[in-house]
Amino acid sequence: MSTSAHTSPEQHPGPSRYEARCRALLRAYPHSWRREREAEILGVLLAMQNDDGGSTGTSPGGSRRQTPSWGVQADLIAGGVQARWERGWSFLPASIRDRVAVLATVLGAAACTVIVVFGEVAWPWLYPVAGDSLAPPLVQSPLIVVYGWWLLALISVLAGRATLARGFLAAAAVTSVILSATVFIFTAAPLAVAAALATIGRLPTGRSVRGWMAAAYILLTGALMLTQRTDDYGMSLQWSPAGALYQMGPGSALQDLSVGVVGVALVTGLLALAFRRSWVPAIVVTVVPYLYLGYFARYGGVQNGLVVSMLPVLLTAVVLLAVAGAVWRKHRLTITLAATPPTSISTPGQETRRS
Amino acid sequence: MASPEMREPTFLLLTALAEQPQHGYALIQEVEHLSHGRVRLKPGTLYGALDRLVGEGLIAQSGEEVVEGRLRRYYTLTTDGVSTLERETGRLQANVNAAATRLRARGATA
Repeated sequence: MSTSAHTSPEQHPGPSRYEARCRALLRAYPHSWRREREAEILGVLLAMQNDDGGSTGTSPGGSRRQTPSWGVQADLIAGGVQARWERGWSFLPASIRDRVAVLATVLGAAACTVIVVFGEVAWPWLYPVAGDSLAPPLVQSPLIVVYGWWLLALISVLAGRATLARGFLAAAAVTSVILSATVFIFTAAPLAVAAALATIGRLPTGRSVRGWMAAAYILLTGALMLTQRTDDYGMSLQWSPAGALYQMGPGSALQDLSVGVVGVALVTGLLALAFRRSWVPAIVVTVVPYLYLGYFARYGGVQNGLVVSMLPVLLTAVVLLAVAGAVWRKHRLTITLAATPPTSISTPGQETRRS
Repeated sequence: MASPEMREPTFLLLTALAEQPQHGYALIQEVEHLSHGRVRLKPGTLYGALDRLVGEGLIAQSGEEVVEGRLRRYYTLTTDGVSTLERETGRLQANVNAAATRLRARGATA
């Protein structure tokens, strides 16, 4: 495409109210971006104003707009803010920014889910004595607003709405900063950083994010398990029913056993993630031990005797073995199908599935 | 990290550029036409996507002109862009073929 000039820009009449408004909105973009692109995007905006048959820049009656529609104005402001933010991180390669965004998103979403489900709802019920002191009821925590933004972002990502998810993440970052003066800083600050980092790159959407979410849950569970013995403040206790067993007394054999069960859950979850790339078994093996061990902490323990206390542990082990067996069978089937020529495994009228 | 699935607006943008280079406003109209009015890109979204696709090497600027005092910059698919669009089209085509086969089989057995 050669460069040509049908009409000089200088011959165009003075800026209309519409154009002046567009130029004002474009100030949302960084100066370097405007130097490269302002004339170009302004041409698009002015063409949209003149397009009577279009639907993006004209008023409902088809007359020329005096100002861009509210949707276009919001889109320009959001685009400008995003361009400023991304240019600030342009020293990092795009592939690195994308990976950072993915990790920050799934770890933040996993942490918020664990906090809400286990820390704020399940654990205070499962372990009421410590719950009264460490985990306030959900409605009393201002951070519930931040958790809500994160969960909405997670739902948006899973639904394939990456742009909407970035909006929720930006809201989570701003809300975390605002609330950081009044809430537990060691919760608000990491969530603010994670939300900010989640917006520096592209987010995966739909099916591809599920494996990452499963990995994040497993990593978080592992971190809680590893820190519960050294965390004097009790954060890992608050977020993990299994961590409550720590309060049953140092040196307890049941305590060590419970940690071992969580460890088995982690290994099984990682196997499920590696072989199946499916989030369901990973989530199951992460959640089920938590619930059993939480039940164990509330209703079992040394008061009810070793046999009663061992039942939930044994049930957990059965569930883990069943899931591991199912994963292993599926993995072996996948290997067999992949290694066998299609002609030798397909028979007329019989369908062969690959997974 | 596995390559993420291509989102529909990205697919439509690359498709709009498959035949010939296009400028920004033409891309908005083409995407709306290709999606039968379902996807209407706004300018901020369009230029965010163009920046990203240029950065990924899937499209490139191919020239510019001034029409009625307005700058038009044209974009074209790169070789990587063509192969990416072909790959995504093949994936979608395979899904469509599989769905059509199953639906025909369902109709035959019903």
